[in-house]
Amino acid sequence: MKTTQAGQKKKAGRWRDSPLPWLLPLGIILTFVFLYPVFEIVRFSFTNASLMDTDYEYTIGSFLRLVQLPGFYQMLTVTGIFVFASVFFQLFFGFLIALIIDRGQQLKMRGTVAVRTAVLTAWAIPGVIIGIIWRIMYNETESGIFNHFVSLFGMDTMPFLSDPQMALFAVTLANIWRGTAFSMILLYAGIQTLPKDVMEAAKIDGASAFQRLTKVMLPMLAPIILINLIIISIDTFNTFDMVMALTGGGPGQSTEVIALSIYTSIFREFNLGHGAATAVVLLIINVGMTLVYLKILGKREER
Amino acid sequence: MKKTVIGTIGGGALLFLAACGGNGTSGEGDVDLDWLTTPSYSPQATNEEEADYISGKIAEFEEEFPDVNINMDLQSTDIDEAMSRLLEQANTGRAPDVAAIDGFYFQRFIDYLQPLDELFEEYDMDIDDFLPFAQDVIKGEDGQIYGLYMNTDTRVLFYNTEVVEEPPATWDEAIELSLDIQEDGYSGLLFPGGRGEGTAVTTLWPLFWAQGGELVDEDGNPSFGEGENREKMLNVLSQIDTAVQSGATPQRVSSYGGENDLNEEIAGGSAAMFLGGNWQLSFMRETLGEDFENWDVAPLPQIEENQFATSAGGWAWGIFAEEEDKQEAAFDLITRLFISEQGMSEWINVHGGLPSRESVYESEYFEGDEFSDVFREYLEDANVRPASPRYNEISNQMQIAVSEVISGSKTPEEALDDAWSVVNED
Amino acid sequence: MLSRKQRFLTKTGLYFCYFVILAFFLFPLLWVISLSLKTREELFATPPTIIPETFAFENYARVIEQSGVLNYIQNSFVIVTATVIVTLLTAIPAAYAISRFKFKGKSPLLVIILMTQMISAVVISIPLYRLFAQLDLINNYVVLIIVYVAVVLPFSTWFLKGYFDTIPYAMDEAAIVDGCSKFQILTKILIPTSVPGIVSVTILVAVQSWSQFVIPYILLDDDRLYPVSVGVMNLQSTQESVSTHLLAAGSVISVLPVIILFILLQRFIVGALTSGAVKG
Repeated sequence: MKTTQAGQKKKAGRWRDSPLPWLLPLGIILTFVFLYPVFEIVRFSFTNASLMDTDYEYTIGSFLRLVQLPGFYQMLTVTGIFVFASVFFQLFFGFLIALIIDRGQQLKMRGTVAVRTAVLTAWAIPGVIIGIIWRIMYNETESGIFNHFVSLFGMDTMPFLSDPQMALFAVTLANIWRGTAFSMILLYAGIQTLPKDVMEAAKIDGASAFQRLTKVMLPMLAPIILINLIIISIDTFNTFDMVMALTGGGPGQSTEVIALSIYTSIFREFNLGHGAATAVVLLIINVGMTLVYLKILGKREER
Repeated sequence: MKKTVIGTIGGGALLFLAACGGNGTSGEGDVDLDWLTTPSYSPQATNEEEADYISGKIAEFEEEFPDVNINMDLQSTDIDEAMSRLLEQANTGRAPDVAAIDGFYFQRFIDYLQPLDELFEEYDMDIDDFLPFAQDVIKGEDGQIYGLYMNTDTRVLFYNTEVVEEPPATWDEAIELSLDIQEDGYSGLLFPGGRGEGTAVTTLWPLFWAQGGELVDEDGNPSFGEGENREKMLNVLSQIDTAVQSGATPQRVSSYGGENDLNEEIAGGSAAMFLGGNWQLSFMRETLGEDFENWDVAPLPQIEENQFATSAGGWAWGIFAEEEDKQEAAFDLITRLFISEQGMSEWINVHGGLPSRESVYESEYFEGDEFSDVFREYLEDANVRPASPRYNEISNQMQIAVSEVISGSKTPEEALDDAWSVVNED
Repeated sequence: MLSRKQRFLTKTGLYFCYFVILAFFLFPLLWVISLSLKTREELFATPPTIIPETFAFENYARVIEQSGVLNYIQNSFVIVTATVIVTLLTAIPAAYAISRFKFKGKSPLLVIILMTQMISAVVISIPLYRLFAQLDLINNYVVLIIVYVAVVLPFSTWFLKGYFDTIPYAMDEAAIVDGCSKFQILTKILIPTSVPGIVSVTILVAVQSWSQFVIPYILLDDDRLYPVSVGVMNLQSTQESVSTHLLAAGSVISVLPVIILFILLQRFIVGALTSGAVKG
C-alpha cells in the first residue's frame, strides 16, 4: 500500500484525506432510491394522474380535494390514535417486560430465556402474517377463539372487527403485540448498562423501589427511551401491511391509517394524484418527526 | 379523448413486442408463449381435480404443439392489484402473450388486445352462443371480438328449506323472517357488507340495478349520487340499514368483504339464508354433508316485489401477442382448457361455476347439477359492472359507505353524500 | 439482601408475570399451530377446540405441495442475505468516514441521512415501480435489493457511526504511527473492535428486510420471486374454498425458520443487541 514516489503520495494523500470515496456508495444508493421518487411523488401530487392512464394535467386539485374529503380528518385521527396508543403501550410494556426479565435474571430464575425469546419471536414475524393470525382470532362467531373466551365469562360475542371503535382497538392491540419486542430489547439493553453502584447507593440511601425507578433509573435511561420513542413512532406511522391483512381499513374507514390510505387510493382506486397528495402529507409528518428527532439528538450532543 | 393516447402508446408497445419477439433463448422455430393466469386457473390450483385437469390439458396441448414452450406466470390473488399491474404492463409494452382478465376490467384492455374474429371462425365458434352479458364484455366498440369468456358466476339467495319454507322476495319479508328464525337460534339474513368487491357485487349493485339505477353515465362518469339515481342508492342503503337496525342482520357482516367470508358461518351451521355467489354451492356440498340436501336457491330479494337483478362475474382471456403463431397457440390453449364445448364443460365439472355459452348447458360433456338451469335463467338478465375507469373508486367508496351504515357510524344519507363527494369531482 | 420470604414472594410474583407474558406472546402462535392441524370440519366447531382432535398433518403436506411456500422462504433468505451484505459493505465505510473524517457539510449530510430514514417505503415504491417498469427492471432482484438496502442504510450507518465514535481515537493514532493506511485502520482496528455493533446491525437489518412488505409487493410481479412476507398473501383464501387451516399451516411454515433461528441464536442476538444498542 505504501507509495514511495513523492508526487503519487501527494495525490494519493489528497484522496486519502477525502471522505468522498467512503461515502460514495451510500450517496449513490440514497440518491437513486430516495431523491428521484420523492421528487416524483411531489410532482404527482400536483397532478390528476391515474394509474390506468398515461396523460394528466397539473393541478393543485388533489390537495384541495384531499383536505375537503369527509374522510381526511378521520384518517388523521385514526392514524393519530393508532400511533399514539401503539407507541405508548409498546414502550410501557417493553419497559415493564425489560424490568421483569432483568429482575428475573438477577434472581437466576428459570424460564427467563424462554420469556425473552417469546417476546422477540413476535418481532420476527412479517406484518401480513400477523394480520392474518389476528384476523382469525378475532372471528366474531362463536367459533372465534377470543369470542369463545368472552363467552366463558357469560358475555355476548364482541364485534371486534365490525364495530368502528372496537376495530381500531383490535388493530392497535395486534400492533402492540408486534412491536413490544423492539422496545423491550432496546430498554433491556439500556438497563444492562446502568452503573450498578448508583442503583446500590440509592438503595442504601433508603430509596423505595418506586423512587429508584423514577428518580434514578428513568433519568439515566431517558436518552435511550427518547430514541426508542422516535423509532417506533416512525415505524408505526409507516405501518400498513398488518392493518391491510387484518381489517383492510374497515369497517368504513375506521382503521384506515394514512399509509394504507395511500395504498388504497393508488392501487384500489387507481387515483395516483390523490394518493401522491396523501403521500406528501405523510412525508410532511415524517419530516416533522425528523426535526423533532434532530432537536433531541442535538440536545444530547450538547450534554 | 384519452382513447387516442392509449391507442398510440398501445401501438408503440406492440411494435416493441414485435421487435423483441425474435430473440428468445429457445431453439429455432420454437415459440415461447407467456401465459399469465391466476393461481386457481393454473396447475397450482388448490383443488386437486382442477390442478390435474389443467396439467392434463396442457400435456395434450404440448403434444400437439411440440414447438411451443409455455411460460406460465401467476397473478396476484388480489384482483385489483393484479389488474392494475397488467394494465401497467400493457402500458409499458411488457404484457404477456395471453392473460386472464377479470370481466369488468376487460373493456379497458381492448386497445391492447388482438381481434379474434378469424380464429373464432377457424375454430367454428359463434359469438352469439355466448350469454348476452358475456358478448357485451368481449366485443369491442368496433364490433370485433377481443376475448374468450370462460366460466361465469352469479349472485343468488341461498336458503335452508328446513328453516325457511318460502324464500323471501323482498328485503322486508327477509327481515321479518330473520327475526322469526333467530328465535330458533339461527342467524338472520347474512350478506357481505364490509370493504371488498363482494359487497358491491352481491349486496349493493343488484338492489340498485333492480330499481333501474345507473352507476355511471354514458361517458363513464359517476352518476349514482345525483337525481333519481341518488334516491335509488339511498333506498339501497336505507334498506340495509333497516335490516341491521331491526336486528335481522348481525353487525359483524360489516367485516365481511367477500362472499367467501360467510363460509365459516355457513359451515358452523347457524346460517339459514344468505346472499352469495353460485360457486359457494361446492363448498357447501363438501362441508355440510347431508344437510346440503335442505338448501335451495332463489333470486336475490329486492326492495319491491317483481324487481329482478343480479350480477354476473367471471373472467375472459385476452391475447396481446402480435405474432400469428403465438396468437394461434394461445387461442388453442385457452379454448382447449376453458372455452370449447368440451373444454368449458369439463372445466366446469371440476371447477364449478357456470357456462357462459348456451350450447354448453345442453352439452353431453356438461354434468351440471340441480341448480344449473336455475342459474342459467338468472344469467340471461344478469348485469355486469360498468367498464368505466372510475368504477373502482365508485365501488370502494360505496363499500366504505355501506360498512359505515352497518357498523352504525353514519346514517345512510350521510354515508351516501360522503361517498358521492369523494367520487364526484368538480 | 432480601430475606428468604421476600425473595420467595418476589419470585412468585415474577413467575406470575412470566406466565402472563408468555401467554400473551405465545398464544397467537399456539392458536395458529392448533388451527393448522385441524380438519376443515373441526375449524368451525363451536366451542372451538384448543387441541385438535385429529392431528391433520396432511394440511402441511398439501400447502408445501401446492403453494410456493418453500420457494418463498428460499427467496426471502436470498434477499435478506444479499441485503445484509450490501448494507454492511456500504454502511461501514460511510460510518467510518463520518466518524473519523473532518469535512465540510458533515452535519447536513447526517441530517439528510436521517431524513431518508423517515421516508415511508410506500411513498418511494410507487415512483420506483413506474421507473422500473419503463426500464424493464421489475422482477429484478438486483434493483430490488438496492431498494431494500436504501431503506435500512440510514439507520445502519447512523448506528455504526455511533459505535465507531465510542472507540477512542487514540487507537487510530497508534495505528497511524505504525504506518497503517486508513483502510487498514478500518479493517484491522475498527471492525474487529466493533464486532458486537456489526452483529447488531446485521440482526436488525435481517429482521427488517425479512418483514419488508411494500417494496417486494410493488416491485415484483412474478410470484415465483416473492419473499415470504408477500407470498403468504397468495395463500389467503381464494374464491373457491375456505382454507383457514391451510392458511394457518402456511403461516406456520413461513415463520418457522426464523423462529428456530431465533431460538438457536437468541443468546447471541440479545448479547449483540445489548452491547450494541446502547452505544447508539
